[in-house]
Amino acid sequence: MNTEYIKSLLDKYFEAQTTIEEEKELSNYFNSGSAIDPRFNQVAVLFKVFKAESEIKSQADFVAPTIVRNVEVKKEAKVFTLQRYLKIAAAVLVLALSSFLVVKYTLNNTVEETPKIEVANYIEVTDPDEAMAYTEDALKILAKVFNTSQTGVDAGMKVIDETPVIGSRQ
Amino acid sequence: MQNENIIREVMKYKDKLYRFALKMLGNEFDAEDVVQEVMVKVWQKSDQLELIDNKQAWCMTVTRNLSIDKIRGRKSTNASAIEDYHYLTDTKPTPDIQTEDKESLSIVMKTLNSLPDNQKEIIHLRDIEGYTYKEIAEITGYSEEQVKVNLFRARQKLKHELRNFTY
Repeated sequence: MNTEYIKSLLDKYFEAQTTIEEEKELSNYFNSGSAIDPRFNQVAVLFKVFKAESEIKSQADFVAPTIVRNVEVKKEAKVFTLQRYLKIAAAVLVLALSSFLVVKYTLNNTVEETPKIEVANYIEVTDPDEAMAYTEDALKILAKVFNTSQTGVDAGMKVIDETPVIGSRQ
Repeated sequence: MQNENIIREVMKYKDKLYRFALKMLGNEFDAEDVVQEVMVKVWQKSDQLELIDNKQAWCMTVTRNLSIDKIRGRKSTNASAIEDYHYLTDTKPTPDIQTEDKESLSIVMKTLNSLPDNQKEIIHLRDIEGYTYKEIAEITGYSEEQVKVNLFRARQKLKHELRNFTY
């Protein structure tokens, strides 16, 4: 290539007046591998540096986002840590314990049902003797309840009586 | 399907994106991260990208912005990391260059390293990637006039520093 032409291109290049095509010509000339006019040795290095840098390639395989997205979803599904298991176990335990306590409390507080005199609900008693018998039965049940209560009160009073009073004189 | 076509198109110039990120960040891993992020952005904005004429310039702009974000992140976390700003801050010669003129190579690398950031950026986009002034303006956000002025100044400095430049 005509060295004078190259010189004129270089003049334009350093004045930032060259077109892209002219810059490609310069790059091709200095990177052709053929003998270069020794006057251009130093500037040739500049174009060799540009050429070398333009050939740098990434070693990474960039992944298309579709694949990235799928991988992320799969990863998310697999994340089931020990902490998560412990949380679930604790929740189940609390639920079971509270259920147990509720059932126990309910059973302890169930009132023994009083025997019903079902007949009275359905039969109109007209015979005085029969009515007397029913009344006696009813009173017996009532007495039984009172007796139970009385026994409880007596027992309570007995405990109170036997309890030593602090500071009292014997 | 539309997304995949655009990704396929962008993949064709992934190395340009990588080199630009590498130039700005000076670190291969960060540069690869940025390019991967660009791919994600392309995927997310594929509808808008369909309407853009110069997709490559758009991707270069995204690469630039993401690289700047990364640099800012470094600055906030580690002030000393600013030394890693540019790929060419490493004064070791590029290994692939076949030349016996080690002195000239050293001068060239030193001069390129000493350029202001905006001039380095413009030299890279013009002399290494071969973009037009208009495209460089689009990528960087500078006006075309600013691009020309900065390119002129950068090349003048190179001419001045190549002392034995006696053609």
